[in-house]
Amino acid sequence: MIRPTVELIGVGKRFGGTAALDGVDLALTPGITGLLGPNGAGKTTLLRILATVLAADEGVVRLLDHDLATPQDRTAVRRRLGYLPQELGFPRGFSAFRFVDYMAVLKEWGSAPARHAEVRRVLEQVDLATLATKRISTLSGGQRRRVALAQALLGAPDLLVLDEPTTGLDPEQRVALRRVLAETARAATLVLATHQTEDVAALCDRVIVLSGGHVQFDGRVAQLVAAATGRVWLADAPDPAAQASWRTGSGRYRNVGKAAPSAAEVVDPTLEDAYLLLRGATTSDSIEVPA
Amino acid sequence: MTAVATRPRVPAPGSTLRVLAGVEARRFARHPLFLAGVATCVIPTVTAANDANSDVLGGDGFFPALLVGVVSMVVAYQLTRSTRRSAEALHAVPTAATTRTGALCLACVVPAAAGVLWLAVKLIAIHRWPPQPWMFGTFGLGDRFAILAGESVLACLGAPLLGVAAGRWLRIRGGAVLLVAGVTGWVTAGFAVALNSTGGLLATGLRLSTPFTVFLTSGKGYRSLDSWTGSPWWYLLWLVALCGLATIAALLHGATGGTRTRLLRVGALFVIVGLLAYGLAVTGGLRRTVTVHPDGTRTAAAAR
Ligand SMILES: Nc1ncnc2c1ncn2[C@@H]1O[C@H](COP(=O)(O)OP(=O)(O)OP(=O)(O)O)[C@@H](O)[C@H]1O
Ligand SMILES: [Mg+2]
Repeated sequence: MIRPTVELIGVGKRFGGTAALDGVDLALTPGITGLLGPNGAGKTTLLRILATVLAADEGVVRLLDHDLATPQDRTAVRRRLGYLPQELGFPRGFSAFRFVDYMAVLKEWGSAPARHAEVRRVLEQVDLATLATKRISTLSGGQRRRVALAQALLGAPDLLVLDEPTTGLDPEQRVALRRVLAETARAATLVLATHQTEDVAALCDRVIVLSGGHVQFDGRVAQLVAAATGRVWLADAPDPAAQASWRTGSGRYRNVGKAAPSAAEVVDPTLEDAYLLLRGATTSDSIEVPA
Repeated sequence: MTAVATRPRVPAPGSTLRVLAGVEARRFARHPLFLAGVATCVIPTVTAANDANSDVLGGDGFFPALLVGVVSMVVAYQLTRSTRRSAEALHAVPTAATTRTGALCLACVVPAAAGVLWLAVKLIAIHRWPPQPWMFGTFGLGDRFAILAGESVLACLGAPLLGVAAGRWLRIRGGAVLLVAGVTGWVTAGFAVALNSTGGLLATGLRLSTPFTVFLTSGKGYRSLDSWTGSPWWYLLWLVALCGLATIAALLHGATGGTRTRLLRVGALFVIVGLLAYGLAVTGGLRRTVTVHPDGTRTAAAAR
């Protein structure tokens, strides 16, 4: 059995009266793990702990064979870490190249030629080579997000922690990013939080669903999807028995619920269906998708 | 993909600080406000250089202190604050916050170098176009150097160091304005008290507590000069201690464990040296303001 690169035992974190994480146990190995969960579930809190930015209040956190007790331990982990925060601002007036280069200096690239080559490499990975010298403030939201991503990719980290990496990216960029991440994850442990279930379905071997600071599901993506088999069906009207139903582009209603009625047209579930089932969504929060 | 991912080797201690200091120094040197300040300072420096009536040890030092020193304080403050929006990512890098602050402090050699340049120009000008001896007041060669170095080099170093410390600690909007108002207010208040007296421990003490002061002022039409109280050399050492304290204050932000303890120890040393130098600056040198006349005669300054 492979030794876990990320190990959390009974991890808790409180902010005042709010328990953002409560008794979280996790063991991750190289590969891509997707983190799903509603707003406020504790995804960012968990990722900040994995990125050594935040200390847990209780429990054990071991990353890349280090517990984080001493500053030396934290530095050792940070040397092999890439982190994309959910929100990242940039110093005023910086170009993409300058910002990523600045981060590369902080990630201990001393020699300028090697550093610059690495900066160009990651900017190319996120398809920003041609915009590298433009001021970040003049870039689009998605392009800015890619600058933030570029700095996380510096030095091919062993542990890559990405908080909503695909937010704001256009479909082509998302697919391109999936390729980069899949390649990176061949030798690294990659954890990404997202609200895009299709990214998890396309990328991740494993999915963790957080809810109210607890792990609600931890397993293979296929396992979660399989649990929804026979529980997704199409109908001409929203099914009152369904947990969630919404009108699709074809004009028909997609229903997700405990069990499809016997005569219903059952379809293959997606990860999103499975996630909604897990979350126990009700018809009252059914989503209308315009035709 | 064009290149294979590489990873940096674990650097030798201090090497990241060196590289980062270079980066920050370049940012400082290219900052538009700094460049504007230096450019504006060149004009009075050049016009005063061969002006026999210029305030040799007096008001001239105001230009580098204000146009390079105070301006650099704002620049240093802004540079320090500029990466705040990326703080979340900066917390996850192997380089410690104290190293980043240290690099910013080291970058303050850029404005200090401008101060050194001003001092060199001034010394060359004095050598090339020697003013009449009475224009140095009561001050000998050594004191003259200490006065000029304090007004230029130390002001151009200390003010930006204070800017870095304020950038790390202040958490309010318009912090730069507050900083400038605070420092200039402090200097002006000390000076105003001194202007209304001809010496005395309290007035000298207040004047020399401030990070910028003059030791020589001219009367109308350069008919006489007033040499002020206090010891210029000990005052210079007091300024050095203030620079040290500003640096320690900046570095203490985010410092933990052993680093914090070491910083506090060095800080205590600066406090002791500073207080000693300050005490000696106030009690040394002239006890009363002395007026020096063009014929070389010296009289006690008239009561103000
Ligand atoms: N710095 C903080 N101070 C106070 N409360 C916080 C802080 N950070 C997070 N919380 C609280 O902790 C809980 C978990 O927040 P977290 O940001 O981890 O959620 P999330 O799953 O990332 O949500 P989202 O999908 O909206 O990004 C929330 O209730 C939030 O209000
Ligand atoms: Mg979040």
